[in-house]
Amino acid sequence: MSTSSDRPENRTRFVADPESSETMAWLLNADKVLTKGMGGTLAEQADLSGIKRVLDIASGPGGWALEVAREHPEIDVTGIDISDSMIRFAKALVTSRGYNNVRFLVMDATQPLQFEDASFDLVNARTLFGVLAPRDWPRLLAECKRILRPGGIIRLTEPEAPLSTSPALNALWEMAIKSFVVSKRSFSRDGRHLGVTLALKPLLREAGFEHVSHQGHVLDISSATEDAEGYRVNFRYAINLVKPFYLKLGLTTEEEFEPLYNQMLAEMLAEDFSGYWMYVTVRGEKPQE
Amino acid sequence: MGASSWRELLGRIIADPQEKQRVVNELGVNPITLIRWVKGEVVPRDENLRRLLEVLPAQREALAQLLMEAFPTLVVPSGQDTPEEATRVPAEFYSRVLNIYVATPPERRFWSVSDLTIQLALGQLDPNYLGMAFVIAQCMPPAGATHKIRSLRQNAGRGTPPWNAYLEQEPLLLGAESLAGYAVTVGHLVVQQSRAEQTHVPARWVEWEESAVACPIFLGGRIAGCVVVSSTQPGYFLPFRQRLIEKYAELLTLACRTEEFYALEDIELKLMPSPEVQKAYFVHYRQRVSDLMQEASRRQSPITIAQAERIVWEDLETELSGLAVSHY
Repeated sequence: MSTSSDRPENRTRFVADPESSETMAWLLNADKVLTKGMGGTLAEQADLSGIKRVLDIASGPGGWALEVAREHPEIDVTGIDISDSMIRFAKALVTSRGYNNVRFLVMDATQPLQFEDASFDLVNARTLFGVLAPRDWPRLLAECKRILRPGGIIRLTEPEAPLSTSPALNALWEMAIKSFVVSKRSFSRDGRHLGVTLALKPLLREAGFEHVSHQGHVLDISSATEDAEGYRVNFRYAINLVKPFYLKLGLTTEEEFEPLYNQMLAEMLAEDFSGYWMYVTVRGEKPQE
Repeated sequence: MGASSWRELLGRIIADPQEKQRVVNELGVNPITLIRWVKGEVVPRDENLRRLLEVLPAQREALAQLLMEAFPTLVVPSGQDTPEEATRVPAEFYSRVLNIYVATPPERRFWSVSDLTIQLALGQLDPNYLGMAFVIAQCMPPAGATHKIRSLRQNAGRGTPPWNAYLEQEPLLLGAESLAGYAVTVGHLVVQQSRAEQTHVPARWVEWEESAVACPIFLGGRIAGCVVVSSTQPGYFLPFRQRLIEKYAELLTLACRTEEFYALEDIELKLMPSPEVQKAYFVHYRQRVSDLMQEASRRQSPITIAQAERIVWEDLETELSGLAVSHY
């Protein structure tokens, strides 16, 4: 979640203001619904016996890292984020909960990571699409490989746009996809989707990871599900918080955006609202040396 | 007679099959493991010993003493299983909630301030997911012939399992029959430490709830509503947790507009129908909000989600007020 201003335009800036408390509330909520939708924090890891040191990259307010720490007191968890505000907030969450196996550090994921070689058993990152430009990924993955022990695991989770019966939600996601193209963050060759999920396996293989595999998660965001409110909360925050980014890119105006936002809220409340949101987790292992 | 060892005490506790199952569930261990601990065949890891203290709050003091005798190196956190700093609301939280208060337009303020505050409170009050519901019950506007406040609307809340994560999905009107209603009427925090406790305080216990606190949201002697916190654990609301709830209730004053705080004499709560009866009325609550917003938009006079929700709550209160006494 970079806020750095000494970087070239469009380099690593987060699409919402990382200093804003609303962004923190959104990300805390988003972590919760995503973790549940994915079946847990480390759902695809059948055996956690070799996992003692875990790193979460671009941890934001720390939702995923805190949840791993709570579930697994035997695992030491480290979260890093470039935003000093996010890290200060995450540290306060740790203090308030009394956990003693999780720490948070300010660190820029686009620069060399300040960890020794082979420091971690597992490196996790979710929704980096909002943080990194395509050109930032190879260097980060090389760093991840360096700080993982031989046989260590990297897991990356990224989304594509949801499919839904809400015309307003669909229109707002089209705007999101366009914003990524315009700001040169998109992996898509035709600008029709985010494209990041399709890039993950090639990126991991190019970085030298082996046993690269994937797992899809189809999150049901429909009104009829018990998690419907969680997704409504997520979009209620998210769409509003990325509005300044869209306005800055000239993709919309206040006059156009507000009715669309209200329409989305209304359509998502309707009993017949249906939607699926796809996430993909791609996992790889550092070769045994 | 007191137990002479922690194993003996644990053995007595799990002699009750229901309690044994609860301990097993909350610790996340195999029942056989529990029995092997009692028999001395296996020594639990330190973290499991500390977790035992958390899941057995009623026996905590005796168990902690026996554990410290058996495991001199075991760190048993002071202050009721919670580090000192976890008994206070961090300054960073005040700063964050204040930031959201100043940065959010008035029409979004209740939702934004209350959502962040509830997330922070729930994380601090139930860090190990023993089971908690944290809801806000806000005063409905004065209505009826007497133009008094007749009920509180449960319109924001979150939970940890077994409760749903998002309690806005379960809207409800609370009246004089509820702990929340009582707290608002008397104007101070009230606590019920267990179902067995004999008190004159009204309470309509809900599923999973074994102890509860209600704390008014006050500003200058006027009341906007109430925080209601329920736990699956009897005796969970130790004094430091009650103080924390008071602090979070203070933070929630920022969620409410000045005109939403009412003098005590304006509050004359009625009896509201049971949640089962109300459920039939609230089943289409969200659809009604959606319809109002879409209709207003078609008429070219759009309304916000907060405005639509307020209208639907008021309609539902009117519909339910007529039923209240006969269905109590």
